[in-house]
This record gives sequence, structure tokens and C-alpha cells, in this order.
Amino acid sequence: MRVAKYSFNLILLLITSLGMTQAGITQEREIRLELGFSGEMVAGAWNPIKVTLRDQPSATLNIDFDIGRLQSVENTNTIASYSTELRGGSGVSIFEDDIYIPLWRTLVWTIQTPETVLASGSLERRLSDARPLHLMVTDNPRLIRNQYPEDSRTVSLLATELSQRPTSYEGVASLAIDDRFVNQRSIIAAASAGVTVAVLNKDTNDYDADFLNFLDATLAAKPQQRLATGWIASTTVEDLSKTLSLPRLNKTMLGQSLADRTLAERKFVVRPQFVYLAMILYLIAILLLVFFGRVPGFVTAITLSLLMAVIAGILLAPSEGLIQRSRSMVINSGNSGGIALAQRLELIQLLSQSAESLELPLQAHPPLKLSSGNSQTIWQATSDTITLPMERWQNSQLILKPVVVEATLSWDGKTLTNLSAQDLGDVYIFGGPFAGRQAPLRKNQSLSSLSSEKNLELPELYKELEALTKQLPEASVLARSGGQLHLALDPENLAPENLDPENF
Amino acid sequence: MTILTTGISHISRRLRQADMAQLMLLFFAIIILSLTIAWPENPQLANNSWIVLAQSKLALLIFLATLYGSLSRTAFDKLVALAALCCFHIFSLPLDAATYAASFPDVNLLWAFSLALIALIAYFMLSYFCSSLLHRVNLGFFAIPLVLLLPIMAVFADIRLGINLFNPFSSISFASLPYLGINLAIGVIGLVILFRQLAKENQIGVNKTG
Repeated sequence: MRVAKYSFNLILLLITSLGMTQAGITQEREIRLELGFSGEMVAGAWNPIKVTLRDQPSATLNIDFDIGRLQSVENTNTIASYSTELRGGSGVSIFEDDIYIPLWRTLVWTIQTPETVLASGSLERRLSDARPLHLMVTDNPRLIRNQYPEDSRTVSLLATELSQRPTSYEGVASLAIDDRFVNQRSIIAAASAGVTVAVLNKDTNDYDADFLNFLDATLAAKPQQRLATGWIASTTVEDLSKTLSLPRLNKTMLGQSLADRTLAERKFVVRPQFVYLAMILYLIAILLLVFFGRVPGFVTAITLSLLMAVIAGILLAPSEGLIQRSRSMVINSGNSGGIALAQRLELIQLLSQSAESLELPLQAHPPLKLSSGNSQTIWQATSDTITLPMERWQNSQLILKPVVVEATLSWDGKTLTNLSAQDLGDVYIFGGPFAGRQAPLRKNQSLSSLSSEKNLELPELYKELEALTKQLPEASVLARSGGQLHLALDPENLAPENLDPENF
Repeated sequence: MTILTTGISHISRRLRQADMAQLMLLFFAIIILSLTIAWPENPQLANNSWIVLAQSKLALLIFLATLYGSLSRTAFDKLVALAALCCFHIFSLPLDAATYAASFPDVNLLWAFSLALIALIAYFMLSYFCSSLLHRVNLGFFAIPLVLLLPIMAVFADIRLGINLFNPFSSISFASLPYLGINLAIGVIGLVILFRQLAKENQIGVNKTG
């Protein structure tokens, strides 16, 4: 009897657990949120996000990043939030974007309609890691893994999991490919975003014909070639570690260093000395009118004061309450032509305290100078906007989401070509045989007879941008058209001193 | 029209009298000083000159209002003194306008310009009420030092009550309706009483002449 009872309970338990598993699978199939590459994210960088809805109503995705407080473990301190509308309906709906993920203590996400929460979850603190990722698209990750330093973050993933948006790769250091199903667009997106893409066994692997043509064209002269801010290299598993040591640009640092004194500079509408003098003269006039002008003088003083109030108000009012200035830099890849990466820094100055927070139609990093320590949300982002809490007379610098653009400047170490639609001035080569100032470049003009006379004096703007110019690799070329800078990296320059060890 | 010209003539004469003239000089000197201190020499720095100027002006005008509210004897003297003090505010309006425009505060323009005037009239009347009361209980000699404590007591009362009713300094940065209501009420009641008293004084004068 007892055995029968136990058997019955066991069967009941099995049925229940089977039911639960089934329910779990069903939910996973209906709503799926993927952050980063195979669940691996890089804190302090843009990361891909993908939400898959199957037969679900339209909903809102909210992600809150909490950094907690030192005083108490229980207290929350949400510094950032991301929200976006997800389009639902019958069948499968997929939403893809890139979101900036800060370092967090707790990451909580919910997908909800006004009536109910469809799904929710949270990510643990241990997943908050700022080290860059090394992606491996291969059938044999163990073989490739040995080529990386021991403490590096390697992720093995399928070719179809690779994003085709350059921003997704901000936190990625390298991408090793040994899979014939790889998509050419993903490779270009990764390389243009600064990733060192190592294509393994090009000659033996059965890659797509178009991809092979692209590789042959790109790597015709050398086994590795700069593409925008990254590299594309054809290599073998044995030489992979050499390819991984190719110098990487720290684009975030470059973006930050675009801010200089002149960008944030405010000018007086009227010089203060003039204001003091005008006010003193006005008050003397009032006193004279009141003391010696009797009744007509008094009436004149009243009229004069009202008139002066109107004039002072009009004369001293700034033209706008919100000032937005930007500086962008197009990073070109030597002479490979084609594409480049544009990095833009936006400076926001709020003069009036018209609102507690400011919504801007920008996709950007959070402000560089974050103030923390209060319980308010520091910044809120959607797929199109960023909302910042800003105080009166406060400046904020935002690094916008980088975008791939057409190359504007070509440089092979000997010839400079202006590929942009504007004339380029302040052409300067940093190091190498032609170091120094060069002649301006008209649009579509090529300059092969470069000046080797050592006119090393930096143009005025570059003197202000000292933080930027110090970071540039040897023999880079910097030019500008208005507020836009154009950087061309020397394709020959593989000097290991440009290696940023923090990225590895 | 005759009343207006007579009134203007009285105010003009009052402003030329030694006490008012010296106080006006002092008033202008202090607000010019506060303006030069608060106006930043570097355009990169936040310009908070309006807040500083508004505070200095408020403090000076409230001090003068409480002083003259208790000093003046007749209703006529009180009204003329009040009008003369209002002229201090009007004469300094260009400084308000200049600092307001340059410092971009998050305060309504009308509020920014009328706050000092409302406070001036309200504190003048409060001082007048308090000194009248003290004179009635034969403590008139104590009126001036006591009424000068009025603003301090008002600030303290606001802090204790936790609501902005009397403290003009905390109303600088935002328009407070309770403050506006209370101060307007005090000002209007005081003006009504003073004008009625003035009419009574005129009647007595007419009777005496008759």
C-alpha cells in the first residue's frame, strides 16, 4: 500500500515537473530578450539588444540599471533606464537596437502592456564586466581559444548571431572567423567599428564567393588592411595572436578628446565693465534728475527708468536658452577607401532652468560628467532620444552613437586625396617623413608632392585639441572642414607602441 | 489730475529731503556693489547676479519699509514715504532687467519685478500695524527696534510652519501663491486703512480751517 502511494506521488511529481518545463519552454519561445553577444555584455559600451515576440500584443520594454548605494545594500539607485515600444501582433516580431550599458549592480527588465507584465527578469552583478570581448565564429572554439591571453573574455557564437550594425561592436576587441556561413556585412560592420577581424584559413575554408572577392580586393596588397577604424586580416590559427596584437584605436577616448575650450566657450553679450559703467551713469542721472529737476525731473526719472529697463532687458538677453554645439571626426582607414566611421561629440549648454530634464533627439552615451549620489534617474534613453536631468547653466558633453559614412580622406603614406564634398584645410601630418603642415586640399584633389619642409607648428584648433592630437597614431593625417575633422590613419603604421593594452 | 500732480509733487519733495536722499544714495551704492560682485568676470561661469541683486534689494527695501512704517506719524506722511520707497524700486528696475536677462532665472518676469514691490508694501503695513498697536499700549518707544525684527520673525514663522507665507527671500526662486495672497491682503488692507485715515485727517484739517 505504502509502495503504491509513493509510486503515485512520484508519477504526480513527474507530471508536474514536465508541465513546468513545458511552460518554461513556451514562455521562452513567446518572448525572448537577448543582450550582448550570447549573453555576454560589455559595461560602459554600446551592446546589441534583440527582443523576439511571438503572437504577443504590442508592449513596452523597460530596462533599469541600478548601481546601488554604499550605505546600504537594500537601497536602490537607478542611474539609467532604457525604454522602447515593441510592435507585436500575430507571428514573430523582432526588435533590434544597440543600447549603452553602464556598469551596474542590478539590471532589471520588464516587457509590459498597460494591463499586464508579459515578461520580466534581472541580470546578476557578475555579468557587469567592462573588459572587451573576443568573438569566435568557429566550429572548433577550443583550438582558437588557446591563441588568446588567458584572462581575455572570449565568446563563441554562430555566424547568424553577429550583428550587422557597427555600434554593436563598440565593446568588441576582435572577431575570429572560421565559418563559411559568415555574412560579409557583419564583417564590414565589425571592422569599421574598430574590431580586428581575423579571417582564418581563407584559402582552405569554403567561404562564400562574394565574401572571397571582397577579401581578395581588400587584402590584395597585404594580409592585413585597415578598414575604417578596425582591421581585416587573413591569417591562420597559429598566427592569430600576431593579428590580435594589431593596434586598436580607443574611439571613446578620441570622441571625448574632441571637446576643447573653444567648443564650450561662451561669449559675453555685453562686457561686464560696460554694464557697470552704464548702470553707474544711469543712477547718477536719476539722482541728478530727482535732486535738481524737481517735479519734471522726477517724472523724467520715472520714465527713464522704465525705458532703461526695457533697453537693458533686450540688450542683455542671450539669443537662446539652450545651446547645442557639436564637433565630429570622420576616421578614415588609410587608402582602403569606401567607408569611414564618424564620431560626434555634442555639447549641450542649458542657460535657463526651463525644465527639470531635457529630452534630446539623440542616440548618445550618457553625459561624460555624471553627477550621482541622488535617488533620481540620471539619464533615460529610448531608441531615438536621450533625456538628461540638467540644471541651469550646466554643460553636458555627449558622445553620439558612431555611424558609418563614406570615406572623406585617403592616405597611403605618400599621397593624400580629398574624397569629401568640401575643401579641407589645416592639413597636418603627425610624424613620418612628411610630418608637419601641408597645403589645403580642394575637393577631389590629390596631393602627392607633399611638403617635407618641417613646418611643425600646429594649426590653432589642433593646439586646443591637444588631448586628441596626443593620441593619434604615428603618420596620421588630420584635416578639417569647418567644425568637422577628418582623420586618416596610415595603413603602413603597425607600430606596437600604439597598442592600447587596456583593450586586451 | 490735480490729485496726481499734487501726489507727484509731494513724492518728489519727499525724495529730496535729507533722510530719503541719503538712503537712496546708500540703496543705490549697495545694489551697484552687489551687482559688481555677483556679475561674473568670466563668461564661462554661471551668471547668478539677479538672485544676488534681488536678495540685496529685498533686504534693503524691507528694512526701509519696516523703519518708515513705524516712524512716520500721520497717514499722509506714511503714504508719501511708502510712495517714495516704491520709487527706489522703480529707479532700480533697469538693474533688475539687466541681471534678469543675463542670468536667465527660472522665474516669471512679472513675479521677478513685482516681488520686491509686494514685499515692500506688505512689510510697511505690518510695521505700521505693529507700531500702532505698541503705541496704543504705551510701548511706542519700543516700536522701532521691535518692528525691525519683523522680517526675522517672518522667516522664523515660515520655517516653523513649513509653508511660504511671509518670507520673501524664499519666494525669489519660485512664484508662491500663498505668499502672494497673504502679502497682497496685508498690503490692500493697510492701504485702505491709511486712505481712510488720510480722509479723516483731511476732514479734521478742513474743519480746523473752517
